[in-house]
Amino acid sequence: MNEVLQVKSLTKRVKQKVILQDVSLSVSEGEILGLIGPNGAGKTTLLKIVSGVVRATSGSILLDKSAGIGVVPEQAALLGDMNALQNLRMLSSIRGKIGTSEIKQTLRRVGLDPDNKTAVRNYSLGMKQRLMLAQAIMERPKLLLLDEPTNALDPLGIIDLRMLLSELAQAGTGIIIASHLLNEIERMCDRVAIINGGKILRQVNLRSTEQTSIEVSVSTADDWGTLKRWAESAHIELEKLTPNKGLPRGILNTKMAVPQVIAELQSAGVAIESISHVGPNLEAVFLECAQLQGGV
Amino acid sequence: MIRLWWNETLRLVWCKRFLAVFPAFALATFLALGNLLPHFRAYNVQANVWDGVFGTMADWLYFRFIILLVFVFLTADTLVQDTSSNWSWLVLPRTNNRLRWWTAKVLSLFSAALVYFIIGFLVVFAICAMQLPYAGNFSQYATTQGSPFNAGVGTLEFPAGATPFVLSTQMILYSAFSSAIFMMIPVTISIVVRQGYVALLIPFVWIFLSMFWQTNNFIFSIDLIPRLFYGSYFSSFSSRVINLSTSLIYLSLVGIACYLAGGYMIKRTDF
Repeated sequence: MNEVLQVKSLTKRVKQKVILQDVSLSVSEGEILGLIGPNGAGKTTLLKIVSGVVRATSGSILLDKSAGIGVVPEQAALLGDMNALQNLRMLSSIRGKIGTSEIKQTLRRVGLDPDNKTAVRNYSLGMKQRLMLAQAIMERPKLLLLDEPTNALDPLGIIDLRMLLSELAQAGTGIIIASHLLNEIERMCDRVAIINGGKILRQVNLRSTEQTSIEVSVSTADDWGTLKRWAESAHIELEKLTPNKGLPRGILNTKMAVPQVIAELQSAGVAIESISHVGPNLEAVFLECAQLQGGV
Repeated sequence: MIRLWWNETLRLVWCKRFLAVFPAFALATFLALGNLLPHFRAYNVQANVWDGVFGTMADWLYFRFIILLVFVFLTADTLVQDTSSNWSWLVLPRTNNRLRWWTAKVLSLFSAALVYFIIGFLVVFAICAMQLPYAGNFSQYATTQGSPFNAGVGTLEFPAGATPFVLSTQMILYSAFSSAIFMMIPVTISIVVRQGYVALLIPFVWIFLSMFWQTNNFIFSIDLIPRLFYGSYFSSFSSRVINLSTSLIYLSLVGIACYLAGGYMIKRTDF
């Protein structure tokens, strides 16, 4: 897949302070990359450098600027005395790529009424955040940068955002989301870069096709024994977990898909209570990274 | 570029605080009329609407401490606001050219100043028209120099044959030009010193200090503030020291210097 962004050995120093150090990452078309890290880790600076408002001290950024970048800053940057449509018209007029009908369509898409004449200063935080999202996506950029996008959103807004980002990714937009909410990142992103102290500590692929973890819960201790024997004969790693409500359970680390595992276990005579795919445990990975950095 | 200029102008003009133009010019007009009307009655002279208009807009005291100060308040933080509100983060990736953005910002100061002085003129004219009769020419009061009532507008010496319409247009254009140049200084400084109060304080303090400097002929001649005021060139008091053509050159040089310095800094600044 084509890369929409390539960041190579990016460093940012302000006076003597190192804000970012030797950061390298890339985002492909249709990929959602999560950037997680504590406050002051350098997430926002990285997004600002990518979008061109902050200059890097060294390193390079490869991206097609003509394809456009959409940005959702953490704090809503809007003209309070104007309504939503006026705000977006003003921003879209800079590139002159889209007209009023596209703007109205985008406003509807994020759940705002394009005919609402209320000045933006009277909008709720959630509405402002939706409007910020609208300005970022209205020109269909190839790269979308979101800084803490779920901050002001209610649960329904977060679900809408998740669906919208998924749609955009399917349409080929590369997306970077900076956040410190691990749960949301885990649900939205394909890949996560953990950043702290200006360094990328680790990148985790959340949609790995190589090996997946499948959590299985069985009915009895006998079933557990059968499961264990089956895993041994199939050379599959089985990790025992604490029983849930008395039901034995464990994690299978395998390349097999869940339906295939179900079929195999049923033919081996294992009574399955529940079975589900589990991604890498982002919280554990993050804590491990933080501990390595001496943060926790 | 034109769209960006239009946007930046709208940003300055299409906001609630720009409404301050109405009370500012209204206050100046009421203060001026409060001085002029008793004077007209005392000497029983036939004044007209232009005496009120020029008595307000060509009076250095009202210009300096009301009209110019309010313009400072409206425009000084244009760049600081963009940065602190993250608006620049939405605009810069769309322009892909910082110099173009800076140029639009500078031009918007001129267009906002023009809007400010046109609206201001209309406010002053409307209020004066309610108090004084309309006429197509200057009144006897305005054109008779050295007369016993020569205290208000009479300190101004209008060029022979000047019509109020032409002079008003020149005054609006010149005031817009000079005020925009003046505001380029704090706006340029605010690229580096990213504090709204600094951008406001520089012109505020300067305007007040300039009051004390003007007694010294040399400082008066190099100070920018007296040159911002179109009335200076019709005042017997200052016309010996400064004149319009040198002021135009001086202001243009200041404007060019600020534009170039700002352009240099804007390319190297983080927003």
